Parts: sequence; structure tokens; C-alpha cells
Amino acid sequence: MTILVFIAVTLGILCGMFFCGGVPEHIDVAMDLGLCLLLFFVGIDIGRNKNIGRQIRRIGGVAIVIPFMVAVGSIVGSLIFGLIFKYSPKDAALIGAGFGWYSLSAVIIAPYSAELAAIAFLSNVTREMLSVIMIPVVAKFIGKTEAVAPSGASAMDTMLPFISKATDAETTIIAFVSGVLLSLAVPVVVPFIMGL
Amino acid sequence: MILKILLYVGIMGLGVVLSRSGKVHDIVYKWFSWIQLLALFFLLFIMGVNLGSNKKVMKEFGTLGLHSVVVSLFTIGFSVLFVFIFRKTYDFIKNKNATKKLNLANEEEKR
Repeated sequence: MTILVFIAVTLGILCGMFFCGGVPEHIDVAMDLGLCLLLFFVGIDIGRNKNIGRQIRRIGGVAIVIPFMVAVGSIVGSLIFGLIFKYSPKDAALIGAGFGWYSLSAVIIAPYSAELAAIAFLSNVTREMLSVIMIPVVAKFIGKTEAVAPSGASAMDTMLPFISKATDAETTIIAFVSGVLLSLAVPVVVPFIMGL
Repeated sequence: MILKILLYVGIMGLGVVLSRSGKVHDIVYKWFSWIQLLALFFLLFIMGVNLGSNKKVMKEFGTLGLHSVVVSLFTIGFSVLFVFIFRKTYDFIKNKNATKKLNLANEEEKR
């Protein structure tokens, strides 16, 4: 599975590098279409589970605490990275506060520092790519709930099918809620840290 | 942003409703994994095209690549660790409460 995923991404990168003059005009539309198609099937998958209502009630507050833990973990991780690679705590925290949403955090950070914006963009892209490998590994060896953590904000869209495949319907719902809350947090947390 | 979240929730909700109401044909369930996989690879391919066609991104990938990989490993690692700590604490409290209730019930039974 992982090899096939890498083949798909690599083929895409090679096509983009050698056959496209610049970023294709309607690529956002194609990505949105792909996302909608995937989310529709994830919905069908969730709908097949007849006990889902009971499961949501059982999950309760956990669905809110988990994204909070993912957010704190991301910022603590980037702060430790900053200590090792000599970044100021503020700059390091800014990189981690993207929570995996590469298109937004880099844009917000860009006026503050182009270098940081580039690192934020690349690290969040890398986070998404690494999540493809990490989600099934974490789900198998650590726990299904923990498999929500690697992807951060992208747990609500691009990474949701991977989480759905590696875990169960209950974790898929936690992942979606977690992704939505983290996505909502990015435009608040990043400017807040920039203003410190 | 809000529109996108609404769109994603709406599309997913449509899937749930159609599946619940039995309007999804059996043939879809039969080929479900394959259809999902194809949709996934389509999205990954498009994502790759998006990255590969952005010259600035490809250039920066080489220069800042190491730092980006390291920081993403740190953010992933610590996110997993914090969720792990929370789950263990949550399970511990839940088990403790369950044992407490069980002990109380046993004591009442003895009386």
C-alpha cells in the first residue's frame, strides 16, 4: 500500500516537474473533486456502521481533548526542535503551529519571515507525507486513537481515508472532529504566536 | 474556510444518509475498497503534480529539506506521545471508577 502511495505521489511530482510549465490553473478544483469523492466514500463507510450514534455519544468530550493534545504535542515538538537547531522559541513554535495545514500557516508566516514560511510549508507537507506511512504503523503498534495525531489538521480531509482504512469508524469520527478543530485553530494560534 | 468545512461535512453526510437509507447499490459495497483506493490515488497524484509543478517549492525542498523532515518528525512524535499520555490517563481513570463501582456493588451485596 505504502509503495503504491509513493508511486502515485512520485508520478505526480514527475508529471508536475516535466510536463507542467507552472502550477496548473485548475489544480485546486481537481484536488477538491478528489477530496469530495473520497469524503463521500468515507461517509458511506461510516453510514454502514449502525451503532455510530451510540459511539458518538460514548466518545463525548474525548473528541475535543484529542485535538488539543495534538496541538500541544505539535508545539512542544517544534520547541524541542528549535532548542536543538538554534531557532528562537517563537520561531520554532510558529513552525509547529501549522498543525499540518501547509497552505495556510506558510501564507500567514510569510510577511514575518520568508525562511520560516518555507520551513513551515515544507515541514507541513512532509508531515502529511510521513503521515501516510505513520498512520498504519501507529494504529498497529501504539493504538488506534493515537493514529489521529500524525496528520494534524489534514485528518479531516486528505488523511481521513488513511485513518479510516487503518482504524475503525469510531476513530474516523474522532479524526474528522480533530481535523476540523485543528483547522479552525491554525488561523488563531499562528497570528497569536506571531504577536508574542 | 467555513464553506469548505460545510462542503466536506455535507458530502460526508450525504454518503452517511445514502448508506443508512439503503440507497447505495450492492455493487458499490462489493467494489468499495477498490473505488476508495482509486479515488485516493487520484488525489495523491494530483497532490504530487501540485508539488512538482511549483518550481520554488522543489528548489526549497533541497535547501531546507533536512530541517523540515526533522521538525515534522518532532511534531508527529510529540503529538502521538501527548495523545498516548491522555488515552492512558483516561483509561486509568475509567478503570479506577469502574473498579470503585464494582467494589461498592460487592459490598452492598454482602450486606
